Amino acid sequence: MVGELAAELSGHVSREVEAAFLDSLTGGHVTAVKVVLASVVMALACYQLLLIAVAYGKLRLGFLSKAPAAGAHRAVGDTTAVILLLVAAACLSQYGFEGEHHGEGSGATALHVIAGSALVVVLAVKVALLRWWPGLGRLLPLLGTTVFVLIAVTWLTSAGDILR
Amino acid sequence: MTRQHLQMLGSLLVALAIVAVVILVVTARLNSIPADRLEHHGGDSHGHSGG
Repeated sequence: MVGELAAELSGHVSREVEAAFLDSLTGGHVTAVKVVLASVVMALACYQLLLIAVAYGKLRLGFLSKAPAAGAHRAVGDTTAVILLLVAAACLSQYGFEGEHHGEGSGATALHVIAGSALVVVLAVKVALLRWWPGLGRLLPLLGTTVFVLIAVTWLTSAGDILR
Repeated sequence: MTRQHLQMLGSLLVALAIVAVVILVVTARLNSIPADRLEHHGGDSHGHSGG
């Protein structure tokens, strides 16, 4: 009982410290910075679709061949994943999984939490596949499409909703 | 520098341009959103409308 209370208190204090850190890092514009970063991720995700279509030969562009498109897809993907994890960490430290102060209990918030969590998991699986299980490479198009759809849903239920 | 290197460099520069345009457009849009609406969506601790 006391242990649970201490753990809960410690978690709460830790989140307060993280929120204060984010607040000072962004000059008090945490939400605005997250909206900008999430929108950058969304735009780069669309560009990634174009690059991978060229890399797989589904789309032919005279000025871009398959290998450079695949290389650029990998480089942009790595960068996007880092930004995405930063936004996810900021979201978690600001709201936690419960979505407090953020339209608690609304359907859009629930969808955002589910899509965002699934996105991190699918992204982790995709990276693991690329690094350690190259034999399962045939699953990459499916995972990539899933990542794109989850990014779109996560963005639409947060940043997209703010910007509309 | 080979043709492939140039193509990859070009692709990365396009990505950079996309990032720049998105930052400019979204920042401009955020500045036009009333502070209370942004606060409703998550709280800007100083009550600014972003940007």
